[in-house]
Amino acid sequence: MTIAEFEDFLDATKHMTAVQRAEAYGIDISLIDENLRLTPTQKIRQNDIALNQAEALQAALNQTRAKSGIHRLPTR
Amino acid sequence: MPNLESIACRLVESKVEFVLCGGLAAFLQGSSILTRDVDVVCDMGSANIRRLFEAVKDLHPYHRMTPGRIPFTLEQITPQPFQNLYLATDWGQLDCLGNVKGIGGYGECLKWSEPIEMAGFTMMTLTLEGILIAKRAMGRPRDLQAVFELEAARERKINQH
Repeated sequence: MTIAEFEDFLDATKHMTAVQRAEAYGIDISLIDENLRLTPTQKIRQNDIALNQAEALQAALNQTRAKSGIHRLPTR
Repeated sequence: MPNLESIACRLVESKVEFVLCGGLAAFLQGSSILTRDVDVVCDMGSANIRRLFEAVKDLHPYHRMTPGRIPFTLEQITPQPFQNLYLATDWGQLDCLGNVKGIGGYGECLKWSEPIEMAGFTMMTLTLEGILIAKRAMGRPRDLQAVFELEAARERKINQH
């Protein structure tokens, strides 16, 4: 989104509520609602779990690529 | 293995004077954007940075923004303060900032902070309003997404009460 497009977006959504504006921007409000239901401890642990899962996935992907010898998709 | 909770706990246990800011603070205040690091604004004086060093010294800290992964060592802490410290540790990244854009240094950030209790410790964290000021001042696309999320979270909190 360019600065001009962003300014147009702000102008077009200025009469909306914050939730409506976030939805118009493409934000999934259900994720925010879910977050607000958690305690701070649950939040930071959820973040750590997600980070560790992402790292594990990345490691598995790298291992698969190394085994297959494929490091990038062919380009045309 | 990332463990941002334990990094934050270590800082508190070592009595480092800091305020949590950045993505983790935003996440704790209602944003849904996950984060890979612990960002803190802290008193960059040598006594406080020594406490910070003590907190992470066994986690193999190094300066992640410098080529060659230069280890963070006690000898580097002199009366000449660091402006910022961008560290990588065994448990994840720890960014120690001297200033938060839009707010200021540690003292100013304290005024925009509140205690958050979690996992048996209490940590000063930028308030939702404080994070909004900082994120608006940063103005990057991901900051603006966080602004929209946090404004929505604030509205939801108000409507819940």
